[in-house]
Amino acid sequence: MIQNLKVLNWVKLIVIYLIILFALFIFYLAQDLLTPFLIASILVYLLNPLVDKLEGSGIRRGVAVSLIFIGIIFVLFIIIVIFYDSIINEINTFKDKVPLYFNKIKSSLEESATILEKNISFLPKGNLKKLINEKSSELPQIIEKSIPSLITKFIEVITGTLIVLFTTFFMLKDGRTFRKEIIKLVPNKYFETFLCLLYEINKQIGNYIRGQIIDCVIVGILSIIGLSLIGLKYAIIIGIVSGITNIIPYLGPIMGMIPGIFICIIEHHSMLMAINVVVVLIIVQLIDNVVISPLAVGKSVDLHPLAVIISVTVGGALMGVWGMLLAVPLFCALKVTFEILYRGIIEYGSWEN
Amino acid sequence: MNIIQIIKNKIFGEKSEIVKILEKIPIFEGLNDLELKKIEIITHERSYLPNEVIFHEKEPGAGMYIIKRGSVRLTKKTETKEIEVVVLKEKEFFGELALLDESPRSATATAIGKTEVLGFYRPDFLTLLQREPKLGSKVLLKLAQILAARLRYTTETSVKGMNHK
Repeated sequence: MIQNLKVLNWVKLIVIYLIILFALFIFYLAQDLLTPFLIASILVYLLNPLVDKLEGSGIRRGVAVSLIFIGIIFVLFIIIVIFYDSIINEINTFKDKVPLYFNKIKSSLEESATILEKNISFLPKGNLKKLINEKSSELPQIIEKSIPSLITKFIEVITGTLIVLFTTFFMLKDGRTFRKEIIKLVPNKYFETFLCLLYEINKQIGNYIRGQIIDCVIVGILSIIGLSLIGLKYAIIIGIVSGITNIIPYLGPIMGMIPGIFICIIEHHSMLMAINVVVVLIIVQLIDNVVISPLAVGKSVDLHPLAVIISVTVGGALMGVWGMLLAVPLFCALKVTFEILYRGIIEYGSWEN
Repeated sequence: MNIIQIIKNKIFGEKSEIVKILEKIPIFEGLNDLELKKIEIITHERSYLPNEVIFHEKEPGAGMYIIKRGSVRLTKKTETKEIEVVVLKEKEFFGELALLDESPRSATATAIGKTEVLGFYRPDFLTLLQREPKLGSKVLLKLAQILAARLRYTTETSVKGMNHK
């Protein structure tokens, strides 16, 4: 009987490994489709406490998730109604200004070419300028050619959004059942350790994601207010970008400053304005680091700042933006796994049996 | 079944087999159907083959077990041999101390025949305490009362033993 038990445990373990391998393989094959599922996972972490709360008051989970979805659609509708005019205005103004920006960049390139040709004697006169003119006249055709691919992109975005909504809905509604069914496969011998591990990882990643999102929203709002106060054009869009990039620890806020500085140079022609933008965003970061972040993210992830920076850089090098976003939660999961297994094996010798 | 009951069942769901077991366990005594359903959500059904060890003595504990079907033997190792502490049957529970901390198990639990248990684990209990303090504290109070009764019994038995000497 004990022999049967050992075989059964091994079979279960192998099944788990095969499922993980299969999932990784599918993810590898469908890399481009991964984004909607990652967004859905983030939304699930964000909304799960709310669903739990509603379920706690006695409502069935499916009804609770539906109520939350209706609520979110309503809130989004209100936000769009309130901000529609100003966002559309900013986009239209920006769209109208694109040819202007294009001409400005072109003339500045031509100026630089003239200076280069004047100072470097062996450069044939007029060649660089001709090249710039040729390439810039090709631009409208390039844009025209890429329109069909823009339409495909638009369809991809719509499909992606639908996948995000469906996945989020079903992960919120049936996620616990899926989780329960999956961990049912864990052999009895490792079940308690596995459950504790899952709980710790889930707690840390959940707290981190929820904290980061709340943090980003507040940073975005503060940036919009600050940038509007100094009179920056497109303050809403730049503020939203700075809020979104804030999700990447340490490097994100710097990335968020770039579009603001770009607008100052191109639109305001003022280095002073650029300095003002940097000062405003630094003040927002200070408020974030001193007040918001400790409250929202707190000590959800007990990692040294250096470990965070290194993992974000490595994540970015391996998987781009998603790598930067997932670096901290993944590093955290690895750390917790190591800690729990170390405690189990070294302190208790619990797997000796 | 009247219309209100039908609507109630549609919204809150019907009483399951697990809820029917849970309501007979002293730790969950006095909880209403809705509260029992919330406990059901966080329990895990596990199956054990005859003679399979559920947990080993001195291992860090992670939760308590309720016997759904079958029976479980609790044994304790002495310096020379392994002694049987008790044999537990259906609807009985064991390992409840692990709900409080991860201190080592005081005995080894082994399934006698083919056994099905419901596991109620500390991580889920801690989440429950955080998410629903009212329900969590009801369970915690019951747990404390059971442990207090057991402590009282142990004290009385040891005093009696000392008197006999």
